[in-house]
Amino acid sequence: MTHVHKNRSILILLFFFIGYLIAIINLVYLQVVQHQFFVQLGQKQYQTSITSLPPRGLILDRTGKHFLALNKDSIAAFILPRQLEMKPQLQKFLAKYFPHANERLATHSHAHFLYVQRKLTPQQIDLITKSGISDIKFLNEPSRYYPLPASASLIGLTDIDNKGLFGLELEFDQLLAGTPSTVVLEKDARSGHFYFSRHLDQEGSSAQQLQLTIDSDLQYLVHEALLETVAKYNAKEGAAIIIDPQNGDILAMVNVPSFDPNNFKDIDPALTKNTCVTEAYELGSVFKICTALAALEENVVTPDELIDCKNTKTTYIDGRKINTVHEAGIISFEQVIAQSNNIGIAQVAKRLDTKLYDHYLRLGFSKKTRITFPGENKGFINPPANWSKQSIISLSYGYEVTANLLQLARAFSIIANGGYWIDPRLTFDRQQTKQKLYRDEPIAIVQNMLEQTTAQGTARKAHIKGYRVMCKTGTANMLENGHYNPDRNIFTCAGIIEKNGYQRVIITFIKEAAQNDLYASMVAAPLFEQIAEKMLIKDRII
Amino acid sequence: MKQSTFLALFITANISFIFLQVHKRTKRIKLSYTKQTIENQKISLIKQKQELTHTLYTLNDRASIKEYIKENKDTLALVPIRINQIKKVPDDARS
Repeated sequence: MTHVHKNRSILILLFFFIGYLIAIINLVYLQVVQHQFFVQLGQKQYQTSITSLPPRGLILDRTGKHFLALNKDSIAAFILPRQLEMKPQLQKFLAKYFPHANERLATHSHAHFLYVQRKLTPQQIDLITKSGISDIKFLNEPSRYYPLPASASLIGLTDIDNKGLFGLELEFDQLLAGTPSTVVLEKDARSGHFYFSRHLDQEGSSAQQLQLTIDSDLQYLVHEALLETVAKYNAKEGAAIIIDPQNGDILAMVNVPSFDPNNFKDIDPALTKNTCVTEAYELGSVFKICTALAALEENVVTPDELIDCKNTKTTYIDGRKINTVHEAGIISFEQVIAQSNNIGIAQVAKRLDTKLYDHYLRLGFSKKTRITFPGENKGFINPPANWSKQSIISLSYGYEVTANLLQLARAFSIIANGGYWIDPRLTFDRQQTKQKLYRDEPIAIVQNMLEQTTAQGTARKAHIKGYRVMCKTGTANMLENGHYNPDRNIFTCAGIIEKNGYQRVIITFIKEAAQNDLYASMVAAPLFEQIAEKMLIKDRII
Repeated sequence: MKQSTFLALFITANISFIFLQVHKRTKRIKLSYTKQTIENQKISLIKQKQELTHTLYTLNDRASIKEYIKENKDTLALVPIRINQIKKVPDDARS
């Protein structure tokens, strides 16, 4: 081999060596340095990741047989703006029937996906189907159906994405929604819905059902009675609660006016409040029974003690004017309650002084009931530090103190169950603590006073023959621009009904009747009787 | 053993293994397909149940029933009942 040949051979070998070296470096770069990138690229072609939420948990009433919230798929219409085949016809159709969608299409013509409308009505589905425009496609979306509109403000709603918006749907959103699971499916281009293997990437939790203490039949009956009374008196609002005083189960909680939970579009946000919990009011004379209980517990009065009610409708105590509806002379303390005399109760309250405030706190006023419901208004009691000379007088008959209706129901439950603390509950998982707040003797006296009030006093219209009914009514003027307006009233009747171990507390409430000369004894007490009667027939307590 | 016999056995065994492996994969895919079909049927049945429950509740809507009773009060003759109209039959008088 000549020198020239040798050089050529080395040159060719070097050329191949460099060539192979470049190829090896390139392979190392692809296989080692960019390994992860290409693995991911490969996986993308045959792996699909799907994240899905479990079906939302159902809401049931206390029987477990009746649903209060159901799942029902709704239909949404969508388009793929980049793949339109009948654009002129589509634009014309949208402009006529779905103008908002047409505007969105004009501004987002290059979007991958656009909703025409979600939660379509059957008529809209029919309209789209008949239009024959193949660019509009349908999609099933999970949504809710509420079979009992009477419980609308209690159950609440889910939004368009099926998330709890308010009410119990919001309070228990996590429990009802569950958490999403992510699965990775191995499939090829031709396998469609079919996959070859499936790996769980992220495990979610399943949605839970929610069973309430609410009795759906009772809820409906109370709602009907309430609607009737509100219509009869042309009142602005009405509300009612039924509670089992032994275990705190809320059996019915209704307020009107409310809204149709199955008609999402026409909902007025002002009507979505569950006013039994979210509103606190000065409830007036129903508080006299709390004053009486406090006075009896503190031994500052006896039921048969004679109180001078001055035989007048207006008098002055400590220079402060005090009005009452019916004048009375010297009557027993029991009669003070039965006749709902403001002058008599104010004199007894003065003996309690700041202890009255402590007793209101003890009965749970100005404290949240800790009910599992969002937005509770805990109310207010004017504290002794802020008291004027008027305060003890006002507090004795339910002014300078605001409470929500559930707090009032709890106070009456304490009277009903023998003086034990009770936590009102909407779900069965909440346990009660047996804490005795009041002695048996004052409780028994107060129960008798309430019975007398129903038999002969202001709550006569709540009486039902054959049952032990213990009621107290209250008519309160509403505060308007710093003054109490006698033309704007709220009417309350709170009471207990019992027979052979069966016991229920009922609160009825009517706000602002159109007529001026009304009292709770004429408005709220008959409503109490109506509701109690329906409840007794339903529960077969005959 | 002859070399040719050994080779024949070796190749046959390998082909058999390959066949069994393919058969196993096919069987698995077939069963997976059946499972997925049943899963889809289950989803479809759950949706049908949802729809039927919804229809049932729509038909049992208390407001509609009340409206129906009001409209047909002459023929149905249903009236609200008061508690004083109800008499309890004593247990011993039932038989």
